[in-house]
Amino acid sequence: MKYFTSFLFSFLFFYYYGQATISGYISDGNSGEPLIGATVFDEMTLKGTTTNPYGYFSITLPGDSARLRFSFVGFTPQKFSVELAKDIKLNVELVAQNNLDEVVITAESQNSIQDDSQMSSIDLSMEKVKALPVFLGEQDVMKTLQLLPGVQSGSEGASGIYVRGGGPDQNLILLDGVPVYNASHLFGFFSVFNADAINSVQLIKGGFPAHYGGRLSSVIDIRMKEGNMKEIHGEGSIGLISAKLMLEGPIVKDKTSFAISGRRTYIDLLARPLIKAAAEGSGYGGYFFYDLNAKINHKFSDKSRLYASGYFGNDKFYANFTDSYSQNGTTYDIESVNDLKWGNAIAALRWNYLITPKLFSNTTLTFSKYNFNIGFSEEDTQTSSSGTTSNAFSFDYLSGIKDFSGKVDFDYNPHPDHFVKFGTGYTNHTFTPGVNTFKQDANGSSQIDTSFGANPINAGEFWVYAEDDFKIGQRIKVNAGLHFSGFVVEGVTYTSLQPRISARYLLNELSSIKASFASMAQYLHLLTNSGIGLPTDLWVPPTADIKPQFSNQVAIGYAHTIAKKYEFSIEGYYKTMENLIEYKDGASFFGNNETWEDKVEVGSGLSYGAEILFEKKIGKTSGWVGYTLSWSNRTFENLNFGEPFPYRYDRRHDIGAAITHKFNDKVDIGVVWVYGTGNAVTLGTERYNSFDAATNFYGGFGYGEIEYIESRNGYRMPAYHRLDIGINLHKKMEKWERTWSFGVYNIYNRQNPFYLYFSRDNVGDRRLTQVSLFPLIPSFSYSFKF
Amino acid sequence: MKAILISLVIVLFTIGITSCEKYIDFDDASKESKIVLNADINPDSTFLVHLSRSLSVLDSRDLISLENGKVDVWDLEGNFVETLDHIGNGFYRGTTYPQDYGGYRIVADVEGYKSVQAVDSIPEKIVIKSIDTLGVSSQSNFEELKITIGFDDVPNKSNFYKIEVYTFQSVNGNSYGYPLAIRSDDVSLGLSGEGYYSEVFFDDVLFDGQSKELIFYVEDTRSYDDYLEVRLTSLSESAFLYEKTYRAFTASNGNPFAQPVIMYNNVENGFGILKAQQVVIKEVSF
Repeated sequence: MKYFTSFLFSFLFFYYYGQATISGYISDGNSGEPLIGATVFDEMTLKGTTTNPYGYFSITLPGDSARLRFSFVGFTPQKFSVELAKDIKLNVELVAQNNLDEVVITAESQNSIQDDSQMSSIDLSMEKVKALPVFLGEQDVMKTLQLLPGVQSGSEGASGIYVRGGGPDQNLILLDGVPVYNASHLFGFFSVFNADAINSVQLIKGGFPAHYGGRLSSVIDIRMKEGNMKEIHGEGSIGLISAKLMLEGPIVKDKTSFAISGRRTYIDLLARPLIKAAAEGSGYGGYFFYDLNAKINHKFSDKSRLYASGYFGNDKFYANFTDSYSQNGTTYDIESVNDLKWGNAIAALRWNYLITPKLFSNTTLTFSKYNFNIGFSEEDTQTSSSGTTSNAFSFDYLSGIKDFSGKVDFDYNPHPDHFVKFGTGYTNHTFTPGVNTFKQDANGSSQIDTSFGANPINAGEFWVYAEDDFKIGQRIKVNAGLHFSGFVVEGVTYTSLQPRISARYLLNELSSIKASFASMAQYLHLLTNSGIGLPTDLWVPPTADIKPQFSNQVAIGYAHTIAKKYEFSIEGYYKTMENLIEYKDGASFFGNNETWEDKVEVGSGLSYGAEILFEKKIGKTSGWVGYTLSWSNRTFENLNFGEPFPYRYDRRHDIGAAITHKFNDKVDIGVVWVYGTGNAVTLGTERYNSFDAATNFYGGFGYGEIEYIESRNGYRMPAYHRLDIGINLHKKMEKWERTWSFGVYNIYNRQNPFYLYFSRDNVGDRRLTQVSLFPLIPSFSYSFKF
Repeated sequence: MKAILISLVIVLFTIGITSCEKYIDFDDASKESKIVLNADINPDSTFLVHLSRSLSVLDSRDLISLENGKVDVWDLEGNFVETLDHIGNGFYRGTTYPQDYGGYRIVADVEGYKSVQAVDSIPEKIVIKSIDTLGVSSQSNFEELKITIGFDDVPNKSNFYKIEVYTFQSVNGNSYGYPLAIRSDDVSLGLSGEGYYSEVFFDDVLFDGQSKELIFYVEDTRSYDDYLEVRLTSLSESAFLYEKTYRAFTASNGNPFAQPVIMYNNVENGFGILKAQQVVIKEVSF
């Protein structure tokens, strides 16, 4: 009650006595790139705020004057004294420091871990992503995220992530606010995000603010670079498997800019002559992926700005064969084409409009598409003295999801102690959960042209939310909100009201305790093959029988800044999940006549654990060490005879350490070490005769042996660990800068388990056999920047 | 470019050579063989039990039958029923017929193995009250026989069923039968739309205690066969769970893309199944 009274009085004070609003954008002085999450702090009233994802801030202050400090990690802070006679527009450009000087930064940094009401959230530095050693020289945001506590990798080398016991479908991966459905290239070994094109990455694992929704376990909010407003710049690299290039610059200085980047692997081009030679000219095959990011933004005025952005990426495996032979005077020509391809296409149009200095709006129209396609075709031609005949057939399997979406979001800053967000949106989904097309032609005329399998399903998803990030006194800060969403599919409507609250209590200047509760709904299911890493992801909607996924998560934590340069946090969480789906025992992706609904069971999940993160963000040596102790179980009435069983990626212990050290402007090194309890897999332990085999002893049908499996996912693979080391050698030329990066993945050549199976050894004995993928792998890349 | 090509070849070569397989210890593999008891009890036959041994998955020896065992049958009130005689190849037969609704405990002892036991009860016998057949054409112009049967489900308890259809032909005075595949749109059978199954297992979740009219389709064999048998079997829960998991196991065995199947097992200290069932047969002459 005391806090409420204090809050009410201060609120009324601000509304009835003198106040002025200072608003504007904070950007990088060199590039004009917005600084997301930069701090604005009034040293007189001790009030502050931060910039939104577009670099915009607004703060309303009382009194006659203010002494404002603008700061952002890695940039030299700036101070302004302003008179508060009227509303002020103030666009601030901060200048990057060459070194993250500990003395300067620690003295000025206000954006400390203990201050934020948001818990379970980590901002990933792109500098760190680029400095750490990487697999085959490919910098990868998702793999860097895997090093953080609470975030687990799946299989060896894969870029998929599993957050706090959730599945890979439960991560809301946003690229400039647009959901990305499949974030993987090359069966998951690389993510689709080109590090050169990214401005910022934020990961949220719990205590979700109300403006996020639609997934249960995490939000990965990735913002692409807007494009340099001042001058043309570029960067690129050539590595072992791919080359990439990024260009950015002004079209009209300080008004319109662009950023464009592309990446393509070239394994197929290099290997094609070898494969052709091996196939004696009768065939060739290969694999490649590419991605392309493009963005244009135009500033109409200080009030109005438009962004258009797109992402297009594809993976393709192909194997083509030709054969020709003659027999009894007839020549037979056979041409066969086989493809396996998948990819995302994303487009977004965003319009920022400042309705008043306190009310910022963002209107977004987006398109997102994910397709997975397998295609086989063959054409046979027979030529003889009597003429030519031909037969052709083709088979295609297509699955995917396509979204059109529109949303309006508002940021409202009525008071320095209140930061309000509200908005609404609608997405039209079209699910294609597995369509098969078969065509057969004879001598040019169509014999069969048929499609079968699941029909496309249309569905609508809508949401509305409101949240306020507010202070109660000096010690308590709360983010409270409501997210209401609904889903309409095939005449069925699901709705969900999701309360969210996250709060911190400052124990002193350097430490706080935090707690949060978040209720989440997810109107999507992902059917994924748990064994192999094929991109056979099948996105499917809730139906009348299979309901949407829901979760409730509570978390409590403690955050502490030590000696102004180290951050320590510990969090515990408890999460329940409902309406999860898993394949039935014996079910297979490669199907029969059954629909996907016939192949799945519905159940619940429970995960809980504790996470510790110790981080040093500044100084010549920086990085983090994270540890997670966790449990994640599933319970399905019709699986494992109703008994709970471990989730495949249940990982009791998970350690990630990522350290970089900058010797000088020319040399820096990075070290990564990871350790994780082995994945849970299902293995038989004993073998015995089935009833049919036993009782049809004198003959009959039936499989003889049964392998006794005690429990689903009841066996643990050996633990996973490896050490990676990399070194970057920078050199500044007159007009550009180049970097040679050398790295070694898995330097002590640990044979980590990829999968297990039973085989026979040289003397015929059955043995459990571990297959490992990546031994010690050296890599290098050459990159340049101008 | 040349440097990149050489580096690529070196890396691929390194992966090819060193990414590898190795044998690892398998701590969970049981070192001790267990008794495997398989038995199917119904009021139409005397007790018949088969014993064999289990082995570790790493053990390549044969799963031999156990012939020197002792198999005792008890009822669920604790009364001794009989000791079964070994009749060869691990089969043990008794002289007693299980009674309707009778519950039994079978105990097997073999020297060198831990004693095992299993319990199950004979389910209710279900009467097919009505049966009707009608020749129809399917959507794909396939000549089918529509079969409608009626029966009463026992209320307030879970009941489990199996339905089969056999067609018979008389040749030189002998009848030869074979099973027909069943298709049905009845959701209580849980069959997917176009699937055909020679044995259909289902429970009464959707019609508990009701008079059930079940419609299903089989191939129309009236032009060349002599008669049909519709077999409705009531199963114990153990029998039902075993059959369901065994069908999933056989359907997916050897498929590397399929989820592994955990087989149902009701033998304490060992493996196998004691399953109880009762069958009723209705003949339809052509």
